[in-house]
Amino acid sequence: MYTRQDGHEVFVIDGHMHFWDGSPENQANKYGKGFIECFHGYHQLFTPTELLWPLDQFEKYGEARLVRDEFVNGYVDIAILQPTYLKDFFINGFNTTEQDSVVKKAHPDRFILNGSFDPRDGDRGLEYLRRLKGEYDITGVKLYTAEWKGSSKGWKLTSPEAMRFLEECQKLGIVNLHIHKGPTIYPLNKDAFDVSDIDEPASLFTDLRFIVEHAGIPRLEDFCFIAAQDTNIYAGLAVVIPWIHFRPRTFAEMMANLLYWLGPDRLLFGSDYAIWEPKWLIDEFMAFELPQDLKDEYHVDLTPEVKEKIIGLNAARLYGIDTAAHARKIATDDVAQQRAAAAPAAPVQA
Amino acid sequence: MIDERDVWARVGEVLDPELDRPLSALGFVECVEIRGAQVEVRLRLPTFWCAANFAFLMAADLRDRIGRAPGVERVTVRLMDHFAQDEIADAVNAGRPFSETFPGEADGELDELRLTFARKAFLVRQEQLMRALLRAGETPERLARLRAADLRADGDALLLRRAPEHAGEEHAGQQGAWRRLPSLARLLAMLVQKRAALGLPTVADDDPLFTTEAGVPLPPQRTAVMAFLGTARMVRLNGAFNTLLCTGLNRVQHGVEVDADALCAGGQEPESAGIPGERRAQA
Repeated sequence: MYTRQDGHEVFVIDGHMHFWDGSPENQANKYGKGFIECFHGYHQLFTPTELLWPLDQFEKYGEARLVRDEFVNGYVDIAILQPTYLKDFFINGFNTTEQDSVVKKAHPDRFILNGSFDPRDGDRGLEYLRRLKGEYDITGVKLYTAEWKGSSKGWKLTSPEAMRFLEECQKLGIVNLHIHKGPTIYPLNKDAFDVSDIDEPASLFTDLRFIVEHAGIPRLEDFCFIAAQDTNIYAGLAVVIPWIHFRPRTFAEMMANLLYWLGPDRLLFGSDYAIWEPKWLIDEFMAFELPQDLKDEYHVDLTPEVKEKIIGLNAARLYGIDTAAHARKIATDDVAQQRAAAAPAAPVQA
Repeated sequence: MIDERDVWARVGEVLDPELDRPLSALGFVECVEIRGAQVEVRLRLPTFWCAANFAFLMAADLRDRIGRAPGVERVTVRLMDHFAQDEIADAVNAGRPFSETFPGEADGELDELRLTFARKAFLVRQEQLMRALLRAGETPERLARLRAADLRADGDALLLRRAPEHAGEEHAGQQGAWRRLPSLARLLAMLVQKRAALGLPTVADDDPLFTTEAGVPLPPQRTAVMAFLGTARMVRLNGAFNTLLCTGLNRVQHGVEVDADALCAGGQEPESAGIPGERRAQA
């Protein structure tokens, strides 16, 4: 819970975070090393200097640190684990559903565990998706279209194979598809960050929600134009929110456009932990005001009500969470106790 | 004898096809080494994972442009700290096309990709000129009516033909049929360059000056002009976001400092007109 200055409590869902292992022991090749170092570059660019992590900490941080950063210090009530397999780059995978299930099992009410699929796996992949549903009752998947597999450098959502998987998702009740674009694609001569392959499936599968992670950055404009046409397209704000510290004006321009093209009900907060810690993101986001010139120009605003939707209520709606009931459920769990112990002592009444 | 300044001037003519800004100003070219009639140029992009197709275009364009400098017999491009550095450099230095660089992973060359981003760059450059004219007091309706002959460069300034209804009036000491708009000539030159790069026909004197990226004249209604500007603004903002992202990552990853604000304000110089399409450098 984030407590506003007026005392109002805001339910927080971190819609996009990871429990990864990018350590040298797990790196399979130069691509794994390049991958975690590229992530660390993003971490360094956007993170306030006093909160920077050294590379070795960033490569592997473990369960205790994750729980502390997300729930004890980071205001988060529920965190959504988004797996990224990358088995061609990391020996055991970067963060698979199975790896993520360890922290989910330890804190069942604090995490939503998402799965994943890869259309290039064919029938075996469909079987794996059904197994994930049976074993973990997943309602969402993270899809990484730039995943390498053998000689393949990626896949498209419009391929016939992908369509079979989307049909299966519909059948199984896996309704939240978190899509992560770039930096490779098939075919390689096409724009690696292209978001246009989301348009057709979103029109065909109107029961499914297509949550485009980092709002399609670096193709924010193409994403906005597509999202304006399909109401089942959503923006995940991982990589958008951190601009708030690096370039507040740029962040404001991004938010004004997202509010203008998608409206306040289709934007989901995500930290992309461990690239960034939720605490500073949320502190700065809750204090942020849209500049008057952008309010006037775009006729949008980032009011406390809009922030509350973005920071938790929108994701709660997509994942069927009753926030009041859930808040009661986790009010005294082990994480809440850690949080109470970590909180500064209340001022003594005279 | 190769003139190093000449080589760098040519590096400055090569644009990042996505960001529409010169590689030299972006800080992506690490160094140029001249040995006799041979030039080696090192390209270091902000991250290990920068898109392979853009990296290929930049490497091929560098080799092509530098290769035309007087006295240069051979250009070797080296791509540093990139996931496909050897595949791309080997192919570019041998003059091989992209499709043969990644067998089975590409289904064509990079013409379409280059065209997609040339269209975006065109929208942005035209928007910058149109907004400058709006700030100077012209109306959206007038912009849609402008013919090519209504606007011409005069040194750093632009001369804009007055609307017929105002032609005889005196305006702040400037009498006559033309308004002088200081320092805007660059914006027109940049637009003309990009039109050529897009393969759009040269605008004849009586043709409408402002068009869509397909070359179709803008509709005359105020709302249509403003809608065009609204779309183009989003494309421009996205380009600025990506310029900040790329130059920022280059700073934290490789310590390269550039003036990102100037780059975002549209500080790019017009490049010499290029033909879209695969450049097969001479081997």
